This record gives sequence, structure tokens and C-alpha cells, in this order.
Amino acid sequence: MIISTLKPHITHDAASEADRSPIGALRAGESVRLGFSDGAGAVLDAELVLNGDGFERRYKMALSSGHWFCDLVPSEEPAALWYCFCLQLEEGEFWLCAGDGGRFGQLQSSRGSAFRLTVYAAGFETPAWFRRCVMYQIFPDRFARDNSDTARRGLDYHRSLGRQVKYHERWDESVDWQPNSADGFYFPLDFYGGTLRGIEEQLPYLKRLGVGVIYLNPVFEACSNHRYGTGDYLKVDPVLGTNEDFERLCKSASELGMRIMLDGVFSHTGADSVYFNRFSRYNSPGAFNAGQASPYYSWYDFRRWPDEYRCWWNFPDLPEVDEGDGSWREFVISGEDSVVRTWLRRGAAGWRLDVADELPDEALALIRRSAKAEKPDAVILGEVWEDAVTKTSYGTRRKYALGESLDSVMNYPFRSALLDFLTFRSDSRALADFLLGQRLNYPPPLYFSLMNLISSHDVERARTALATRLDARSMTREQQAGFIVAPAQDERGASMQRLAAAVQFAVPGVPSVYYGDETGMNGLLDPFDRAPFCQGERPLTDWYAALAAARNGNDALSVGAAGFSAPDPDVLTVLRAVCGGRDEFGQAAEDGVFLAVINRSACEKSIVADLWAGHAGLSGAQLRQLRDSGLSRAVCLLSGDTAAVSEGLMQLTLPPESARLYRIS
Amino acid sequence: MTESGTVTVYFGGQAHEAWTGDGLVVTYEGRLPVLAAVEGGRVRALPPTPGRAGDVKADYNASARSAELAARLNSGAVPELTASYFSAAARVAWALGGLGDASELPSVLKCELSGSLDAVILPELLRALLDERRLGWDEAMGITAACFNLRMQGTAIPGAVPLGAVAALQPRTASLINAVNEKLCSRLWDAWPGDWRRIGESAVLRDGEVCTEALCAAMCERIFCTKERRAGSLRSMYILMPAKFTDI
Repeated sequence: MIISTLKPHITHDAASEADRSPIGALRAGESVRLGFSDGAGAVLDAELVLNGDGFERRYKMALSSGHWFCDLVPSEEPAALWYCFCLQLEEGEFWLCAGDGGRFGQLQSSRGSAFRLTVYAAGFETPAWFRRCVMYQIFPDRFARDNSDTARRGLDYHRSLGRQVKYHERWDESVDWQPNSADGFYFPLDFYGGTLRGIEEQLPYLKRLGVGVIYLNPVFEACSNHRYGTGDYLKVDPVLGTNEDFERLCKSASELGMRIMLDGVFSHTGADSVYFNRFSRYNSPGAFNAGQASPYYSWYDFRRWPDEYRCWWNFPDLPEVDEGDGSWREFVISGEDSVVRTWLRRGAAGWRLDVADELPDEALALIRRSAKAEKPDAVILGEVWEDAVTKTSYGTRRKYALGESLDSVMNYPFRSALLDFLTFRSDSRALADFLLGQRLNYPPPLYFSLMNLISSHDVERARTALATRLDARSMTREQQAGFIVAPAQDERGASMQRLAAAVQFAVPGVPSVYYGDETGMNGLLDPFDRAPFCQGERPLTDWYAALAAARNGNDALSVGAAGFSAPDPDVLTVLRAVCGGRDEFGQAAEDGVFLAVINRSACEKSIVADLWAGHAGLSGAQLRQLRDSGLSRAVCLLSGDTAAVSEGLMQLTLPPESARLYRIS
Repeated sequence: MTESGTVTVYFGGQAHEAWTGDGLVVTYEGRLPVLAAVEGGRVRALPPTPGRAGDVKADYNASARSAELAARLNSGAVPELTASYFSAAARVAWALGGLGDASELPSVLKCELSGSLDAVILPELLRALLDERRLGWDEAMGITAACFNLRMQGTAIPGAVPLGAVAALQPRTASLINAVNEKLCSRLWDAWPGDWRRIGESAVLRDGEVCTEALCAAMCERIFCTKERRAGSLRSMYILMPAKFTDI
């Protein structure tokens, strides 16, 4: 810790309107004022240095009352940008750069990290319904059977095509993981027989849980239980049911106020598909077996037909498509009866795009246009694992988060930051910095629609991660299969998962519950994170339902302004507020102020929460409205605890490993 | 507090800090002594009796300056800070004078400060405990805190004193204020890392001036103030140390 650091009176705070107005991401063509304070008048001259991919511009800064500033329009186009300040002092040239966390300035003798500045498409909007939802992710084979013989008949169908499949007679059998194919690898061919009708029968349960949108992992015909190697885009896998079953599911869900989202795997198809037909199981001229006579031949990139072709991560089962091919685009995206449009017409509310990183921006933009043309409030959600604004793939900066393609992304960085905090790999300041970083750097329409997950089909379940603190990726499948979460570990995992869920439901974005997380299921990596839905030893169903009820019943918790604070290394607070009857998007919303307080420590903690000045991320107008709203009393919606509020300050004593969600009035 | 007899208060000069085998040893050079005595219920300044040995001329000059300072202190012709320092240093000297165990000091020197120039007694007592009683930092801070509470009425205006003015009166006191400030800033940094603006607004030293309210808040055991002040100028201090505060 350096206190007598070089000229601390020269300050820049990217979360303060005094230095950056407006704070946060900008619309293309929007102006911003960037500046810094020089309390001691030490700066002789200053320039703002703005850079993006392939360019750098310098702007002269002006001085007024100890504050250097510069007004500029950073970009007329969506872009990820960075800025810092070059200062002339008596001692020479210095740089005011971004310190740890990227919020505060740090004076350096050489150029260092820059502050981020995101510019997004001027017309970017995301569906209002989506950001108010609680999401529930279902791996369709593993959620619920129905009483019919749909699954068995579906498996017979696959067998009739010559596919090897296995049916788990008992729902509580362990998942297969052992090598089961001729090449000595595990292939996911074991099915439990979950169906769309089974899901439909569970809709009342999901309604009670407060779910607003259900995201289904792939449902189209495919030879594996995860169905990521699509065999037929236009047909529900017979093991799950029929296309009519899907339409009925959507209708039933809609009657209960819920929607269904599908998983679109468009960067590749299955080799065992109508389109590639490597094994001649379909009665169609596939690219593999019919060559150039196939209408699908141009979809694929054959280096030497038929055996050498480009495939996803070199898995020959998953031949990649050429997303620039006209016939592929017509069939999958843009045609009147394209895959994208057909399923929206059949009732889907949107698409989650598998490996969005591997789809070109043009294809993603086309998907967006096609989906919105069919259903204006359809959601396009991308699978992205890293920061969605600064992500590069194949040497190119991706723009899918900037308003021209994706409405939302899977927020894996959120999961990492949250689990790091709750497993004591970081502290609350790191988490608050992370949360603030997303607030400042993601376009608001995307930010409020982020799929905030803590588990998914591709990572270990949160319960297990929190219970064991293991790095599951360091374990073999065999080790994972033999791993048992001890009761004491599970108890700790449950305690921490309560806190994780509280954060998940308190921050902007769409909290996503992976099926079985609420019931306390454990599981390491694929396939152990895809076990059949069951009750764990320590379920949290009531906890999730209470959080969802709080969120669904209070606009501020979904569409209110957000600020973050870490009053203690073990304590995180999240402030949400709607003041003046308008949400962050100017739409009508019920006024309300809420404070979520999370104490991860095994000890009781006493803290003071500062509602007026302690939560970074709020604009000056929002802070003024908070001050003027006469807040005096807080009641926890989860525990019933009360606390007094005086002059924007709340003194709280927090039990060990506790979460509180105060409504402040 | 018994204020009997005379005690010596030293002004100005230079302090030399040296780490030895016995810890930090502070020696002084060029200080101007003034005696303090209670007469008629008031603290009076008296010139010390000139020594008869050594450099007579130098002694004479020093004596003359001491006498002049004493006269000015008695007539009120000195800056308020100087008078406050004289009064505070005398009180500390009286309190410690007859005391064998410094840990008993709170029983003889317990009082409330107003957050104005009376705050100067805090670093002066700390100095005496560290340099004269040779206590460690934590113990000396603990005793100092136990002796004083801060009570700020709603309308009280916090004082701001140039650190250089304090250093001119007592350089060692100024360096201790610096040390208190750095420790407070360290806590502020832990709470608001990188937020120099907030740290600067809450620090003891702000743009070269000592904020006497912050000095008291940092060093006193308890703080009695209005909720408006707690939520205003003492906001960060309250967030850091809520247990210290009592509303009035």
C-alpha cells in the first residue's frame, strides 16, 4: 500500500460524473466529457489520448477551476475504446492511467493501462420482458419424464437408423462416463428419457419458483443426448417428443406467463445429419455421401471430399459450416421458413446461440434481423465465455455485444468472479470492482439482459464448486466419477450457494437457475453436471423462490439503477433503485430502493452501508433522487430484520454467512 | 487534574529522531522553554530562570526570548494556535508529572474536546508518551484515545491549521500528526482503494492543513455529534469506526 504516492491530488474516477459524464457506455455519436482533477495545480498541460483498434487520437484539454476536461464524440460507430491522460508537469511528462480495477486514475511516469470506453449502436434495444425475467435452464433429456412411451419410441427410431443408444431404466442411475465407442472415447449416447411433455407437466413447479423464461438445451434431432450435433434442424428429437409437443409446451408456458428459448447450434452440424449424412442414415443427398450433387455441399468446407473437411475443434462428428454460404444462410437464417424463423413462429421466444464466438459478426447480425423480423421481441443470446466487449476471436475484435447482433450473453465472467469471492480466492472489493466494470463497460441494453449464471451444462455445478473449492478441470473423468461430496462439504456448499443466489438475483441481468441447482444437486464437469433432476440433501428451493418473488415483485431489482460497494473485505452490498417512476430505459416502473448485503465470513460483521455516497455506478441524478427520497427504515424481505436509515447511512450487524435484501423506504 | 507547581513547555527548535538499540530516541535542539503555572485559576506563562553557566550571551538571548513569549502569551498577543498549544502542553506536563504509571493517565486527564484548536493536545500527549515515557505506538495511542472524547455541537466549525504552523511550535508534534494521518489514510485506502478524492476529503492532513475535527475523530475514544455531522463531514470516519459514535 502506497500512501505517499506520487501526487495523489491528480485524480480521475471513471465512475464519477465529475470526471466522466455520462458514466458508462455511450451510444454511437454521443458526446462525453472526460477529465481529471488537479487539486494542487501541478499540471502545466494535458492531453486526452483515445485509442481503439488501429488508431489513436489526441485531444487538447482545457483547465477550469482545478479541473482539466475535454468534450468529444469518441466514435460515430460501435467500438471498444480506451483512454488515458498525458500530463505535462514541472518534472516532465507523466501519464494518468487506470489503476487496479480500472476505475481510478494512477499517475505513472510511463504509459500504462487505459480506461475503457464502450460505444454501442445508437439504435440498440433489447426486449423489455427479458430483463425482468428469471431464467431456468433445462437439459431436456434430464429434467422430467412423462407417463407416455414417447422416449422409448424415440430411442427405437434412433436404433432404426442404426444409431447406438442406451436407455437408463431408472431415473436415479448414475450417468455414463466410461469409454463406450470404438475409438476408446466416451460418447454421450445414454438417455434418461426426459421429454417436452415432462417439462410441460412441471410448468406449475417452475411457475412457483418464479421462472419467466425457460432456456432449453438443444431439442432437435441428433444422435447424442446433448444434441449439439444437430441432425435435423426442423424436427424435435423423437426421444423428446414432436414438433407439436413443442408448440404445446410454448402455449402452456405462455398461459402461465412463461416463455421458451431454444439453443441454436449453427456453427456446425452433426456429421450424422440430414445435411452431411456421413453414415447415410438419412434418405437425403448429404454433402458427405452425395458430394457436389448435394444441395448442402456448399455449406461445408471440404479440403478433399469426402473425408477431409473443416470441423469444430477437429471433432469429425461436427463438420463446420461456411456461414457466408448463401444457401446455408437462406436455410438457417434468412429464408421465410428458415430455421431461425420457423421455431419462433412455432412459439419460441428467442435463441441462445451456441459458440457465438465462432459465428461471424455478419451472420450474427443477420440472425438478429431475421429473428426480429419474425418476432420483434425475440431474444438473441450468445454463448460467450469472456468479456463480451473486448473479446477477440481469430484475430478480430468482436462487436456482437455492441448492439448489432446479440441482446445478451452468457455471463461466465460473473460466475467466475462470484465463485472466486465465495471460495475466498478474492475479496468483496474485487467482486465489486468486477460488477462495476460490467456496469460501466457493457451497453446498458445488454447489461440489463445478461444471463447471470452460476452453473450450466458446461461447468461444474455451483454447489459442488462452492462445497469443494476444487478445480474440476484438473481432474480426470474417472476421478470426477468417483468423487463424493461429503455432507459437511455439501452443508458449506449450500450455505455459500444461498449467498451466490442472493447476488445473482440482486444484480442487473437475468438470473439463470440451472435445473437442479435449486434442489441442491451436485456435479462436476460434463457429464456429471447433467445428471437427472433430483432432490439433493440440502435443497434451496424455498430460498430461490423467495429471491425470485422479491425480484419479480419489485421493478427496482430487475430494471433499477445499480451501485456496488465493499464496506468490508467479506461483505458486498448491491444497491438497486428506481426513483421518479422510470427505470433505466425510461420506461414506467414502480419506485423502490433495495439493498442486498452479503456476508461471506464465518463471523458476525458490523458494517455501515452508505446509500448516498458509497455505491459506485449510480449517476449524479440518481444519487440526488436517493437523497431526496427521505429514506428512514429498512426491512429485509428474506429475514424480516429491520434497520434504521439516517442520512443515507445504515448500521448493520450481519450474521455469519448471511444474505439480506432490504427494502428501504 | 491537579495543576500544581510549574512545568516547562517548549516551543520551536528542531527534533532529531534516531533509531538506537533502545528504540527511537528523540533529541531536541534550539527549543525555547516557557514555564507554566496556575495563578488565580488561570494558566500563566513565566520565563524560566536563566542558567548561570555556559554561554552567558546565548543564555541571555534565550531568556529574553522566553520572557518575551511568556509576556505575549499572558497578554493574548499570540496566535490562537500558540495559546492552545501552550495550554495543552502544560496540561500534559502536569498530568504526567506526578504519575508513575502512564496507563493511569485517563483517570486524571479524561476530558472532552470540541474539535477545534484544543485538538492540539492529542499529538502533544502522544509525543510525551512516546518520547518521554518511551511507550510503544499502540500503547501510547490507546492511552491518548482513552483520555479524550470528541463532542461536536451542531454548529461547531472544525478548525484547519497549517501543518507548518504546528511544526514551528513543536516539530515533533507535526511529525506525529503526519504519522497519524498516514495510518488513517491507510485505513481509508483499505476501505476505498484508489479513491484519492474520498481519502483526501477524510484525511487529517488536507492540502497541507491539519483538520482538527478529523484529528480528534481519529484519535479520540468516542465521538458525540449530531447525526447531520456524522452523515456529513464525519461520514467516512463513521463508516470506518461506527462503534465510536454516539448521537447527540
